[in-house]
Amino acid sequence: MKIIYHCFGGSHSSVTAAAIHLGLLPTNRTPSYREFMALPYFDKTPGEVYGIIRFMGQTSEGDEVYALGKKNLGGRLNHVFLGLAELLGVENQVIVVNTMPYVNIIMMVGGFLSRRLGIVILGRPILIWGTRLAFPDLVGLVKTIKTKMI
Amino acid sequence: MIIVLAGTTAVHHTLVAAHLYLNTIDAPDFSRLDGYCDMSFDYSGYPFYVGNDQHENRVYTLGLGRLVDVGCRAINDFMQIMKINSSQLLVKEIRIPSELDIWAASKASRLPLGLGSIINRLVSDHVITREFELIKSDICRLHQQVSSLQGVGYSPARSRLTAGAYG
Repeated sequence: MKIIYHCFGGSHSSVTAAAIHLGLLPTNRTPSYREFMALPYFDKTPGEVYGIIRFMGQTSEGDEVYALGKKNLGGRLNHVFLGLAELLGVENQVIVVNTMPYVNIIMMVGGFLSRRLGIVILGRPILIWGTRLAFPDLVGLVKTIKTKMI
Repeated sequence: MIIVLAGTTAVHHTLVAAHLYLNTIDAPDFSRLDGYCDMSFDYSGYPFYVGNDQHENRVYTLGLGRLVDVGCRAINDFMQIMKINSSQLLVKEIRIPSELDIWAASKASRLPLGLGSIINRLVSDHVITREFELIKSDICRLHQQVSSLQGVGYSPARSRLTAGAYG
C-alpha cells in the first residue's frame, strides 16, 4: 500500500503526518523543536518542488509513505489520484490524504515567513509552535488512516 | 491504454481536443459536444470519459484548475510510484494561450439567472475558436505518440469514429 499525504508546500503538515505514520515522531507527547527539525524535508524544501511526490519511508508492514506539496490544488487532487487509480484498477493500493484541514493560521504564517520570504529565524519558531498545536489532530488523522487500512 | 487530456478544466479546450483526437469534430462547432462548458462534469475532479478511439484506447479529459503544471507533475510522479507506464496511461497536457481566461470564465458560470453560463460559453467559444489550429496540431502529435507507443502506423484519413459520447 502507498500512502500519500499532501498539503500546500509539502514541507510541514504532510511531512509531519507522514513522519507520524512512519513512527519517526512520538505520539504520546508533543515532539520538541529538535525532533521536528530532524525530520527529512521538514521546513527545508524550496518552492519549486510543488507537484513532486517525495518518498518519506517504509513502515514495518511494507507500506510506502510519501509527502507532496500541491499548492492550491486543494481536495481536487484526491479525486484526480483516486480517479486515475480507479481507471487503472489500483485504487485499493493507494490512500491519498489531504492534511490541509489540519493546518492552523500559526503554521501558515510561520511557513510563509520561513519558506516564501526566507525569514527562517523568525518563521521557523512560529511554524513549530503551530505544528505543535496541530500535532494531536495530525496524530488522530494518521490513526484514522491506519484504522482504515486494516 | 487510457489517454487523459489534462488542462485547466475538463469541459473546454481539453474536451475539444479529445473530440479532435476521436475525429468527432473537424471545425470549431462546439455546441454538439456532450458536456461542453458544463462545469458540473468538472467540479468533482474525476476524469471525464469522452470515448474510445479506433484502437479501443479510452479517452478522458481532466481539469486541474490554474495549476496544470503542478498537477501534471504530481500525476507523473504518481504514475512512477504506482509503477504505471505510458503504455497503460498517457497523460497529455493541453495548453493554449488564454487558458486562464477560460478558467476564470468557468468560475463565472455560478453567476445567477443564466448570466454565468453565457459568459462561460462566450469566452470559451472565442478563445477555443482562436486557438483551434493550435489544439489540432497538439492532437496530431498525440496521434503520432499513441501510434508509436502501440506500434501502429498513424493515418489521419483512415481514422474512424468509435466515440462513446456519440454511440
